[in-house]
Amino acid sequence: MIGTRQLMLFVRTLFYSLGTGALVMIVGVFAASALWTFHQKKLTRLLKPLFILSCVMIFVPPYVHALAWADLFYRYGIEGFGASLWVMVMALLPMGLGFSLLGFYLVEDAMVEAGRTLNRDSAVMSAIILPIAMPAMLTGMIFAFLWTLHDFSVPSLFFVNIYSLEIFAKYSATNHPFEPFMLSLPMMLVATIMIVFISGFTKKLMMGLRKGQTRDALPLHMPFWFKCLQTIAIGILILQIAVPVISLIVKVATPSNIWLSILQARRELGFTLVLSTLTATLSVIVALFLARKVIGMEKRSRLLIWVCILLPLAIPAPLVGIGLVTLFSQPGLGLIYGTIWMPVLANMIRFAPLAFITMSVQLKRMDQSLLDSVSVFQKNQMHGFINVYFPMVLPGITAAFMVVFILTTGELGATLLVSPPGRSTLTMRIYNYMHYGSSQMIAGLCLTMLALSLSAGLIVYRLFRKTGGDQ
Amino acid sequence: MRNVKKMLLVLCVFLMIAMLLGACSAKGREVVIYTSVDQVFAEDILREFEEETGIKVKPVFDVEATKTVGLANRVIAEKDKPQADVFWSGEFIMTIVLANEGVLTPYASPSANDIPAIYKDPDNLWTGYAGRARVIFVNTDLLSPSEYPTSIFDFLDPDRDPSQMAIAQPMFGTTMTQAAALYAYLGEEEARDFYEQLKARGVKVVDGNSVTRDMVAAGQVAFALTDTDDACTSVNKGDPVKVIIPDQDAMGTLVIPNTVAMVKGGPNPEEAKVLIDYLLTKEMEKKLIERGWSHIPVRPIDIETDCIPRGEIKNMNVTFEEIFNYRDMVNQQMIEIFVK
Repeated sequence: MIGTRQLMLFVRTLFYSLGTGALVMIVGVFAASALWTFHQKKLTRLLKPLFILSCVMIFVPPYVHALAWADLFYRYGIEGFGASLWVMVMALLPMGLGFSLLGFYLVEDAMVEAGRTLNRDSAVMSAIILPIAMPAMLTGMIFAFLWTLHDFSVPSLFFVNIYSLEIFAKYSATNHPFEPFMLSLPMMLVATIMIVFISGFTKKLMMGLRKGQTRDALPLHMPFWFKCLQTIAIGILILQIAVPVISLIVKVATPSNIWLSILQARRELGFTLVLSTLTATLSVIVALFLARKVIGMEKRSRLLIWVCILLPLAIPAPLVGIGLVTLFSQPGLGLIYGTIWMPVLANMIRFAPLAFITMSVQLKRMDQSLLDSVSVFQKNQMHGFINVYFPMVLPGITAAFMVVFILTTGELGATLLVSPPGRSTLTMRIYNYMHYGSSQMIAGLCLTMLALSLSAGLIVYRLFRKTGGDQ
Repeated sequence: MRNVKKMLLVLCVFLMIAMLLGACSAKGREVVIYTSVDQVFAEDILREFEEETGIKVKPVFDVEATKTVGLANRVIAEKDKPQADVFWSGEFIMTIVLANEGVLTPYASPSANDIPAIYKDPDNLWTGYAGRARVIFVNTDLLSPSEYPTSIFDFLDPDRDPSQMAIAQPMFGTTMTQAAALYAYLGEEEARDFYEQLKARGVKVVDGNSVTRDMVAAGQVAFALTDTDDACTSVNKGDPVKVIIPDQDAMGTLVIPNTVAMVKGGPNPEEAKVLIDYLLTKEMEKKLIERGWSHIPVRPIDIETDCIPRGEIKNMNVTFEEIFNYRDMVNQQMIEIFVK
C-alpha cells in the first residue's frame, strides 16, 4: 500500500517524533528533579512559579513558539530536523515537566528514607525514584510523541518533511478522504499501540496520586554532573517561556495594538468563547459520567474502555473534520449540520478523552470513606450529590473544563472544516492574518490567547492544589 | 455550600447563554460564501455588499495552513447537503475540480459580459477575473540590479547560491499550479527535470508563499518565487524588496485569475446571483487591484500600482484546462521529488 519513499519517510518521522518525545522527557525529568534536590529554600520557592508558568505554556499553540524561534534560527542559518525538533521540544516541554513532576510525586518518602540509610542518594535516585516515576515519564513521552507525529506545520517552517505532510498532500490531490485515510493507517496503528501501552499505566498512576505523597525525606544530594544537567534543564525552561513571550511583546510594539487586535477580532472572540464553553461543558459531563462508570469496572473491561476512549487522540484533526462533514451531510443526519454543534462535536471528539483522564484522576483522589458515610446519612441522592459529591469533584470538573476550553480555543484542523458559515474562531483569524503578514495583529491576538491560557492554567493549578495539598 | 450552589447557578446561566448564542441565527435574506481569498481583503468587500444590498453574508474563509484545499473539499463533502451558495477562489484549479465533481451550477452573470471567453467555463460553471501573477521576489539589499534574476531558470544558474533561493512546497496551492503550467508548456520530461534540479541543488522549499515573501523581506534568502499579492504586501510595507515579472522575453509568467462560481443546490440561489453579479463587476475588479489582492485585470481597466512594473504582462501560453489536466500527475511527481 505504501511505497519505499513513503516507508522511509514514515520511519524517519517515527524517529523524529521519538527523538522529540525522549528529549521532552529528559529535559522535564532533570528540571523537575530540582525540586527534590535543591537545598536553598529561596531557589525552591522560585522554582514553583517557574514550573507553574512552564506547565501553563502547554496551552500556547506550537506555531507561536515556531514563529518566535524562527526569527532567531533564520538569522543564524539554523534549519532542518535539529531546528524543528528544538521548537517542538519547546512547545511540548510542559508535558515533559508535568509528567515528570507527577512521576516524582508517586514516590513514597518511606522508601526514599529507607534507601538513603543503605546507599548514596544518587543510587536512591536511579534505583528507587526513577523506576517508580518511569510510568508517568513514559506516558509523557508518548503524549509528546503522538503530538509530534501529527504536526507538520512546525517542521515545514524549518524545511523538514514528515509523514503527516504526505497525507495532507494526498488529500489535497484526491479531494476524497479514502486515500489519505488509508495512508494514515500506519500512523494511527502506531498511535493506537502507544495508547494501549499508556492505558496499562493508568491504574499505577492514579493509585499513586490517591496516596498523596510529600517531600519530607528530601532534599537529596546529587553529584556535580547531575546538578549541571539540572541547571541546563531549568535554563531551557526559562527559554521556553521567555522567547515566545518576549518575541510577541516586541512584535506587538504598543499596548494599543493589543486592544486594536481584540477590537477587530471581537466577533471571533465571542464565537470562540461560546464554542469553547459548550465544548468544555459537554465534555466534562460526558467525562464525569464515563469516569464514574469505568472506575467501578473490572480490570480487563476497564483497560478496553480506556483504549476506546483514548483512541480519538490517534486520529489526525483534518480526518475528524472531514469524517464529520461526510457523515452529517448525509440525508437524514443533517439536524446539526451547519450549526455550532458541529465544531462542538469535532472538538469533543478530539479533547473529551483528556477531560476523561482529568476526571478519572479526580475521582481516584476522593475519600471513599466520606462517600460511604454520605450514602448512609443523605436524605436522598440529590441531597448527597449537591452537598458532598459535587463539591468534592468540583476541582476536577473545573480543571477538565479549563483543559478542554483552552485546547478548543486553539484548535484549527477540524474546526475549520466544520465551522458554521459566518463564524470563525480566534485561531482561524490568526492563521488568516499570518498569511497576510500582519505581525502586530498576530502578536496582539497571540498575546490575548496567551493571557487566556495563563489565566485558565493558573485556575487549574489552584484548584488541584486545593484537593492535593502540597502537590 | 452556598458557594457551590451559586457556582452551579452561574454555570447553568453561562451555559444557557452560550447555547442561545450558539443556536440563534439571523432571519431575512442571506447568502453563504466559501472563499479562499484572504480574509483581510475579502471581509471588507463582503461587508460593503451587505451595506449596499441588505443581504447578510455568511462567509467561511480558508487559511493557508490548509493550502486552499480545505474549503473545496468541504464543498465536495457537502454535495448531498450544500451549505454554500457561492464559491470564490483565489485561483482556478480547485474551481475546476468542483465543476468536474458536479457540485457547481451554471450561471452567466451579466457583470461578466466584458470578460474574455478564455476566462470563463464554456458551460458557465465559473468565471475568472482579477488575476495574480507568479513573480520572483528579490531582496534589494542582497542583490544589485544587475544581479536580479529575470527568469525562473535563474534558480538553476550554477553561478548563483541555491541556499539563497526559496520556493513554496510545489504540491500545494499556486506553486503547484505553476508547476502544472510548466509541465503543460515545457513538456513532462523537461519540467520534471527542472524541479528535480531545484531539489538536487538544495533550493529552500518552505511552507507557503507568505513564508518565501517573509524570508526575502528579512534577508534570509536573496530571491524567491511568490504571488503578487504576497509580494505587494511587503512592497507596500516599505521592505527592501522588488517584484520581478519573470520570463517576459520568452515563455511569459503564469497569471492566475480569481474564480467565482455558484454552488449547485445552495440554500439561497437568488441571493447567490446578486453576490456573484456584485463580485464580477469591472468596478470590483478595479477595487481588488486597488486593495492589493489582485494585480492583473482581465479586461481593460485604467489603473496602475506601485508594486508591479508598468506595462503589459506576458502570460504563459497555456490554457486553464491544460494546466488542470496535469494537476494529478504533477501533484504526485512533486510529492515524489520533494517529500523525502
